[in-house]
Amino acid sequence: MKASTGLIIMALSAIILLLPGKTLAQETPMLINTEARLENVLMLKITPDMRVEFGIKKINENLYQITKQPDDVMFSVESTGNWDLSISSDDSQFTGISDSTHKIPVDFLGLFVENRGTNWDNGLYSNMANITKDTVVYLSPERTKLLESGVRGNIGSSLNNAFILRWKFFYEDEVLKLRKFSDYNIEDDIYTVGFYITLSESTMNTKVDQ
Amino acid sequence: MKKIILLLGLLIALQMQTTLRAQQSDPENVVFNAILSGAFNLVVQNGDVQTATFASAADYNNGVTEAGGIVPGFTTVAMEATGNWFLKISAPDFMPTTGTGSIPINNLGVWCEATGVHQFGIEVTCAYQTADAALGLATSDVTLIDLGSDNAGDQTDNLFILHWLMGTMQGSMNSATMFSQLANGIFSQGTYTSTVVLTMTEIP
Repeated sequence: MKASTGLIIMALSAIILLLPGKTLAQETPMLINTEARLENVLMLKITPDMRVEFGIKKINENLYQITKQPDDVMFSVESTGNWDLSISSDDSQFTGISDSTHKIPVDFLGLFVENRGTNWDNGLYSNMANITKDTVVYLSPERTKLLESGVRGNIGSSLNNAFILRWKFFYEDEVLKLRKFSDYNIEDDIYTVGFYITLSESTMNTKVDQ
Repeated sequence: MKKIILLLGLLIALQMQTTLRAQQSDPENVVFNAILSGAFNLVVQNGDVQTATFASAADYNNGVTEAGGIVPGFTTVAMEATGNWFLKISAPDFMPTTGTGSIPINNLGVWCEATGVHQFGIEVTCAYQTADAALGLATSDVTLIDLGSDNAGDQTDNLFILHWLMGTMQGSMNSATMFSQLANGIFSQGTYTSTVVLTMTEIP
């Protein structure tokens, strides 16, 4: 009995001796306040010279040759909010480069947008709706909406929002062949017109708002 | 004879008085106790408020550093310690003051530079000595600077610069760009805050 009491006393003494060592392990905290400001970014990355040009040559009354194809235009959008995109020409007519009296209405040329980014363009229930997904739209001096934010939102970088604007002559399309070349008075020339791409914030809610 | 005896008696009495006076000087000791208690101070010399601004697509794609985007982008800390110590770091996720969602704290990174006498690999150790090896912060404590051989010392010994990064995807930081996290709806644009806690702990 005495031996066990002695052991208990020794154990308690050891604990008491050890305790101060543990409790004396000081901890000194310091605080650093950090703030992250995520500002609004809405940016269109595109070549600065936004003009479309094509060359055409009349072979005979029923045959024309395209001597210069219009160049496709790569562009991307970087945005911290949802966005819409539209296009318009800066004139109602293409103008000949060699002779400015040579004119062709801008609706002679159509266009569509090919999606190359990771955001989907399958409609308003995806990241965005691509109006030209299944059709070709006319170039027009009026602003024509091409891409519209969907419910999943189209926020993202140029990896998410990368596109190619492709031009298409309407005579290339079976349905549109109804429009005859004879509707236009086409002279041999290289024709050009400027165009605007307008990027605007969308009122569509973001995903975190939903 | 009587006179001689009287003189002797007087001499003895005087001698005794002298002896009695000497006994009155009583020396006392002053006991001086020097108690060297353990002292552990963590001092943030500057950079206790950090502001990271994402203002361009490049910022969202590549992140921000003290070279651009984070002001001031670094924090100078010093430790005064009578014994060995180690430094832990943690922070909660960024919460919005404006905006929605929260920014995972591992988007915030830190790496260390030793500018005092104590150097990494000798008196102290640190696994995060370059931006490429940055530590992505966590909500639980992670050891940022640890004991090497012996790191007791004053502020000139233990002087470190903590370099801050955000959204750079380096080291153990979040591997997704801020843009992709934004696109995935984890958070929206806005202003977010978090408080980083540095804890210096004594090694008993």
